[in-house]
Amino acid sequence: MYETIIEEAKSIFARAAETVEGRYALEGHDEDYQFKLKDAHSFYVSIQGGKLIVASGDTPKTGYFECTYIETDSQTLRELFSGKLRPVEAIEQRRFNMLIRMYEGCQITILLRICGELIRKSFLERATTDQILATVNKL
Amino acid sequence: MELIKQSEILDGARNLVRYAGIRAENSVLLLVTDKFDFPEVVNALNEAVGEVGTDLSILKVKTWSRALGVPPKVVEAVLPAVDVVILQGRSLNAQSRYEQQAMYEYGTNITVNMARTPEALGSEYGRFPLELFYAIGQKMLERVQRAKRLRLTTKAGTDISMNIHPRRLGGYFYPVRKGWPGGSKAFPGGEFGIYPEDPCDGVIAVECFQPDVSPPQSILETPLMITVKDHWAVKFEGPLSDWLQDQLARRGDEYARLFCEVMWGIHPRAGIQGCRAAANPNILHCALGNFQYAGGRYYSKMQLPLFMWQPTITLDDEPVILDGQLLLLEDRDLRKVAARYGDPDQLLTIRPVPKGKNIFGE
Repeated sequence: MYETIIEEAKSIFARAAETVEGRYALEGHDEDYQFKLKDAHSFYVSIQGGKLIVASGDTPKTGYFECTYIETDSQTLRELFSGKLRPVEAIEQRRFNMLIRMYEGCQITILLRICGELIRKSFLERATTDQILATVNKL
Repeated sequence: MELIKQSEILDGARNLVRYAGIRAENSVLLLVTDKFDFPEVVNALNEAVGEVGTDLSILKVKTWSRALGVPPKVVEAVLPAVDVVILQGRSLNAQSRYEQQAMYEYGTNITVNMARTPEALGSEYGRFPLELFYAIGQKMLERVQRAKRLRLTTKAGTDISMNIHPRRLGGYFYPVRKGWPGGSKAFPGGEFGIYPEDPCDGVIAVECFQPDVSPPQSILETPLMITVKDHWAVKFEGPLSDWLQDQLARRGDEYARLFCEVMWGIHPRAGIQGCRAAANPNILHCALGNFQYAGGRYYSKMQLPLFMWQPTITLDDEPVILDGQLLLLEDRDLRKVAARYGDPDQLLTIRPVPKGKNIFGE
C-alpha cells in the first residue's frame, strides 16, 4: 500500500505537470506540499524552478512560506486522482485538510483537478460504449 | 471628505496592480457591482492594468448578498476562465463553492478592492507604500510566531485566551509572489488572523455584526455576550442572542459554533469613510464556523464574523495592541522604512475609528 500510493502519485502528478495548465501552476512559485496520510507513510510534492518531484518521507522545508501540510488518506487521494472527487468537494467533506496561509495552497489542488480530468479523458477515449454505460449506471 | 486628485486615484490603482502581482501575460477581469460603480476608480484601474501590458475586461452586475445570496450565472461562469479578478464591490465570498472552485481548481487569483471609493483609493490608505505595509506585516508575523498564548480583552467585556500555532495563521500582510496561481487577497490588506488553539476559553462581547448577514441591527448598544468553552460557543446572552442562535442552527452545521478565527488590524491608515475598517487596529473581529482555508482544523459551510472595538491583545502577557493602538508602529526599523516614503509620524499614526462608526462602508 505504502509504495503503491507514492508510485501512483509520482505517475499521475508527472502527467498533470506536463499539461499547459500544469506547467502554468508549477511556474507560479516554489513550494513543497507535505502529505500526511492517515493510512500510509508520508510523502511530499516539491515544486521548484517550474519542476515537480514526488518523494517519500518528510520535506526538509518547513518555513511558513515554504511548505503546505495536507492531512488526507489513500482512498481520498485515489478518488482525486481518478476524478471521482473534486478537490473542493474533498475539502468540504473534511477528507483533504490543508494547513495553509489564508486562501493559498492552490497549486496542489489545481494539479489534482488536472489529474482527475486526465484520467476521465483517458477512460472515455479507451472505453467501449458498454463500459461507459455501465459506469454511468453506477452513478 | 478629503479632496482627492485624479493622479492620486491612479497611484492607488497602480498600488493595487502591484499588490495583485498582475503581469502582462495575465487575463484580468474587473468585476463591478452596481453599488460600487465609480467611474474614477474603474478608469484608473483600466489605465493601471494597461500600464503593465495587458487589457482589462470589465463586467458589471447587480450587487448580491455576500453571505446569503447567489451570484449571477455569468459570474460563476467567468471566474474560472480568467487569471486575475479584481472585485470592485463586496459580493464575492471566498468561502463559497463557486469562488473556491475558481481559486483552488482553476487557479483564479482574486483581489478584493477594499479601497473601493475614489476617496479611499486615492487616499494614503489606497496609496500606502507596500514595502512599509509588508514590513509591518513581517514584524507582526515574527512576533506572533514566537508566542505561545494570546489573550483578547475589550472594555465592553471580551476576555478570552487561547494558544497559538506558528503555522495556523494567515491574512493579508505579505507580498504576492510571482504568478501565484489561485488565492484571494484583500487590497490594501492589513488583517492578521490566527486559528485559536486549545485550550481556548472565555467570553466575547460582540459589539457589531456586518450588515450583509442581515442582523436586526448592526451596531449593538449593549454587547451580546458569547461564552466559549473548550473552543465552542456554548452560551449566548443579551441583544440578538436568539437571532444569532437561530442563524447558526438554520444556516450552519456541526462546526458552526466553533470559535474559529481571531483577526486584528495592522494597517494604520485603514478606516477611511466608505470602506471596511477591519484592517484598522481599533477593530478586532472573531468568527464562529469555518476558518479551514486559513489553517483552521475544521470545515464548516458557514462563517459568522463578530466585531469589537478598541481591543487589547497580549501575546504571552505582553501587549501588541493596547486599547486599539498597534504598539509595534513605534519600532525604529519601521520608522526608517516609513521615512523613505514620507513623514513617519503621519504614515504610522492610526486613523481613529470610534465606536458606533459604520465600519463596513454601507
